Amino acid sequence: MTKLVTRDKVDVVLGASRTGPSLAMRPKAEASKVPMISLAANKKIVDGSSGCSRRRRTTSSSREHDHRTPSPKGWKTIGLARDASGFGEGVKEMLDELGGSRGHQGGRGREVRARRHRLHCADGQAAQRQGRRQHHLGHPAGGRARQKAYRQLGRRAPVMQSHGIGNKVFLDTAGASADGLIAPLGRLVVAGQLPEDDPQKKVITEFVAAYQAAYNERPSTFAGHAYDAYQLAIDALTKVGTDKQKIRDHLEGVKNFVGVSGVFSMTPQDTRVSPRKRSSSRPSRAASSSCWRAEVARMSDFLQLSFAGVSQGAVYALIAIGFVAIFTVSGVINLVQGSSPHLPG
Amino acid sequence: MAISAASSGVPLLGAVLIAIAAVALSAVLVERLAIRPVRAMTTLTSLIVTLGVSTALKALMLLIWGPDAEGLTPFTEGGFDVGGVNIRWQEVWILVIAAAVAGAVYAFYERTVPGKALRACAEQPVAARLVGISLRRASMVSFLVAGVVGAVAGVLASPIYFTSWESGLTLGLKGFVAATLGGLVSIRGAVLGGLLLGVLESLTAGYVDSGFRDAVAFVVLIVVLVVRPAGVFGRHAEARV
Repeated sequence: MTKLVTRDKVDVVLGASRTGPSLAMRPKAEASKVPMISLAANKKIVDGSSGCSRRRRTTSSSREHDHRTPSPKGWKTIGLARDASGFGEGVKEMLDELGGSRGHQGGRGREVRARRHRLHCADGQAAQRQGRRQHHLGHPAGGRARQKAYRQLGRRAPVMQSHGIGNKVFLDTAGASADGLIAPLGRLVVAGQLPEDDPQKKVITEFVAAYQAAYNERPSTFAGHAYDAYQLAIDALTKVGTDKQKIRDHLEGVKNFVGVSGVFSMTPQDTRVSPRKRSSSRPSRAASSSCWRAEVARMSDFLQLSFAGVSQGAVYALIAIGFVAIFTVSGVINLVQGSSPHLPG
Repeated sequence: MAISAASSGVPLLGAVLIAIAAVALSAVLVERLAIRPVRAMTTLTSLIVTLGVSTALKALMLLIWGPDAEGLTPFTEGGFDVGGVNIRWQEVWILVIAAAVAGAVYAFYERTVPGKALRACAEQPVAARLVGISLRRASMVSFLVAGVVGAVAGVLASPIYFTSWESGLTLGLKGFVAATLGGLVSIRGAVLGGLLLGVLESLTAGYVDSGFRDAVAFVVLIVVLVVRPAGVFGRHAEARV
């Protein structure tokens, strides 16, 4: 970012596509007055900024959609599994805020402490809630692993994923375990199923065709974000030239810009995509299933956690044996030992 | 690797065996190419060298298999409930096979001639040499054992804890912490250390905060090194570190 701004003297910066880097780039963008089009979605990126970032879609808009769904179906409580990385930041706070205004019990954001693949032990706690949804932000593979684990447990309550899984990779690898899953997704993922009168239909269809012709694979959601940012930048550059202030003013005044990821309307304070309702990727079949009620005693929570720990520990134990085997003979501590379990994968 | 093999049509068991053999081979190669050429090998040098190799391998895996984590299909799908505790069949597999492998390694060291030779090298390197045991071969065999055991761990864990290019070092460090818990010189200690660490992590994630999960291992490491450098279960008076 520093190099782009000081050495290459760029007119506009596109990116980053993730929250962390975007937050790190923001002060630089503000100091140098270079307009920056962030592709990430966390609300924190634009809150209080001096208007040089835009967000493609904030977390709150997709959360709102999540909230809309459960109430009519009679779900009252929500289990929340969030990522213990930056992707999970602010999720609980957002749920508290939205839940409060809608009188949702679960909106208090009862937090199920699950991390990535540890949904398994989290379920001991989540089990008491009738409805549950998972918020998983980020990694399609992590979401996939949990989704599979959840199905293996045979639970019936609907699962809602965040837009973080909105990628072909997730849908392809999660396979049948994703049936019934509800998630706010970009229209790009379901391009073929869009109705003819959808304003984005033309843009998305053209984008998919062009991308496929160039790279011979379907574009990911992130490719769509990058495309939109690029189009916005081109639009600004052709209309107002390369003056930084003018570009920023232009970007902030964008109204109803039809892109791949949404229809954008920006304001100086809250330059974000209008929270259009997003399509569900698959029909929600699970919603009508019976409530799963069980009083799971504390003891079984403890046992569940311990058992998950023992099976994880068995894996550590095998790796530890490898360390001991080598160390005792030659005094060598072989850190490659950690990679060997990964090679077979 | 097993995933690549499995997706190209090899049956699961075959794919697993291929993967284990390949990893064992790569462990021996690491020993030949990165460990043996170093003249004055100390524990510290070995740490630095293997950290380098591990980083390089990581990059290689990223290049070959890409950034998306993959998982093998479970050996047996589904699971069952016992008294409110849900158990997946894959976890049963993990426990059974891990126990079998740990037992086999233990028996190898206690009962077989090559195993005893390895122990001799470990306990009395000079004397071992005097009676004609090659330290070089012993070192290679130890890497082979470590490679096989590590590969089995990977194959077992893959369906549940998805593998990806980035988590190798963390896993290695946790294995190291587990080994340290056991004093770094005993197989039995390593197994107990591993199980203890796993349970501690899981309970911390469940009752405190999942964010602390990865921190547990390192807090434990520091505490052990300060309080009991010979390991929690160690009978040896002196640590070899």
